[in-house]
Amino acid sequence: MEKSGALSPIWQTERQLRGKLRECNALSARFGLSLSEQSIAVLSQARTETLAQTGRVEFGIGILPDIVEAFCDSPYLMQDEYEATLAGLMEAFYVFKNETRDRIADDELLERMRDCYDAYEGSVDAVSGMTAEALFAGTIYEEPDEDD
Amino acid sequence: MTEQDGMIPHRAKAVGVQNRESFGEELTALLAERTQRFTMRDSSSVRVETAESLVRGILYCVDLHLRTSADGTEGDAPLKTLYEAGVSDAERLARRGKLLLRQAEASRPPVVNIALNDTLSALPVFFRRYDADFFAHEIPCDIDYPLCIPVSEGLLGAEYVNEYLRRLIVENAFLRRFPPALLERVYTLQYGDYHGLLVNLYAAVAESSVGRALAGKRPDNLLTDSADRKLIAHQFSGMSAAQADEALRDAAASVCDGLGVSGGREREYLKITALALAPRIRSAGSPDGLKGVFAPNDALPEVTEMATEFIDGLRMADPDLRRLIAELQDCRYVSDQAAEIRRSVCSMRDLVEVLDAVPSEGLYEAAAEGLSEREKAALEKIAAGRIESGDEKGGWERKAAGLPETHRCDEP
Repeated sequence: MEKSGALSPIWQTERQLRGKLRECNALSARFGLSLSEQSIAVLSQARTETLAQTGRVEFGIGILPDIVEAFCDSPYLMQDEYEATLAGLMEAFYVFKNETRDRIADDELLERMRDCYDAYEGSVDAVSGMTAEALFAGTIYEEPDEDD
Repeated sequence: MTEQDGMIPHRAKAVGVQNRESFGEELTALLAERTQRFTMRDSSSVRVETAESLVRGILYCVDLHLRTSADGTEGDAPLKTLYEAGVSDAERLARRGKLLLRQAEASRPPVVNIALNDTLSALPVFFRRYDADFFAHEIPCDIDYPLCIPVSEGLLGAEYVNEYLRRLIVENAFLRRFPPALLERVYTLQYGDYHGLLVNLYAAVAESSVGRALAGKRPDNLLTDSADRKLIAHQFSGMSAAQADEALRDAAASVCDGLGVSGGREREYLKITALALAPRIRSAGSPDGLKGVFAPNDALPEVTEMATEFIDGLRMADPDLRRLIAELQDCRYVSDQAAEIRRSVCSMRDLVEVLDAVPSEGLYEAAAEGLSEREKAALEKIAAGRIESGDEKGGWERKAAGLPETHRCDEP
């Protein structure tokens, strides 16, 4: 998707995001996790690309700091795959938002993703390979109608 | 951003707002705020389509306010202020629309058409779903029934619906001037099973009434016979585009006068409808082709009509006729006068005016020599009518009617 017209400034919040991710390191350090400056830059760039690929627009610093907060205490999250895991979870998050047609709040979606991530012993592929229906199995979530 | 794609139209004040330096920044901040409100802070992101629709809603409200506000200086106000004022304007339009809908429902035409009924049933949904806060530019309901003159797609949201309803009310008011049985007859002739078809009810009736006026008849009946169609085809075959438009404008005015239509909007609507007939009349090609344009009266025995039919020619423009009369009055010889009449006059009504104005001895006889039997009969009919009503003007009437001349009492 092209960055054009009045919406282009919305994608230009990378500086704020980088600052917030640096702050997040203080929290994740307690669990032996930290993002280097290079990883922060990679994730910030990945966020822009993933939003474009999934056809979404995000305001402010976005969901990445919330993903760090939601997952950093998982026993399955390791430092050597921290950056790649965050990137994979971020992509899965936006895909689920689209699949659920924005009917699920960010907090609730992150909570379900975290449950599944732990249930599959830290497999990002397992989480991102799930359908929204499977992710919310046993909850009141229902597949949206085609007409909606 | 163009009017066509539903974004901000190219109007001076709106463009002024768009061109100011802070426009992008103001719009982004406002969009972020509106998106947070839209998601109720539950979501940090939205789909691109949602964001674009929110942007359209914002820009539409800004544009609506700039277009409708009386105060021209408001273009300098912050974008958020203009947007909020635009939301109030859109809400006001929606309230007005509810009244128009009530009026449209109360003035349904006296015939049944499923598409019209469905549309009138769907329009309350628009007012229930219309969201001026976020998507003031949207029309959240199905409007299937086609108008005779469609509303411009440049209008959006409640503006579009209100204009649609205004036009529908004009159309329905016109239809309610005719008895249901006559309307049904016109629709059956023009459309067949009109109940279930997606057709406009006004067009066929308005056009047929204009057809009647073009044939010099009152519009109440709506049906035209073969003589009417022949007359219309003949008239239009000799007309320039400007003359055709003039004739259609006159016919529309005549219909309005005949039906007692006094509202400016109704008269204008019929005039536009009538003017749209010009290419259809031209392309009909023959009187028979006009059956598809004007509802035909298939009950009339068409063959017997032919014997008494007379089709007048194209009339001269008034200044030309005045000039010809002056020339004939100055001309000394009757033979020259008759030759000039044969050369210049194509219409029976013009000939009558000439004979009234040029009382030369022997002119009637000389002019009548060049007339066909049918034309002589038509002239005789006019003369007989005048004699009967005591309205003789030129002294030629008695000759035309084959009666002996009488001397007026004031003559020696």
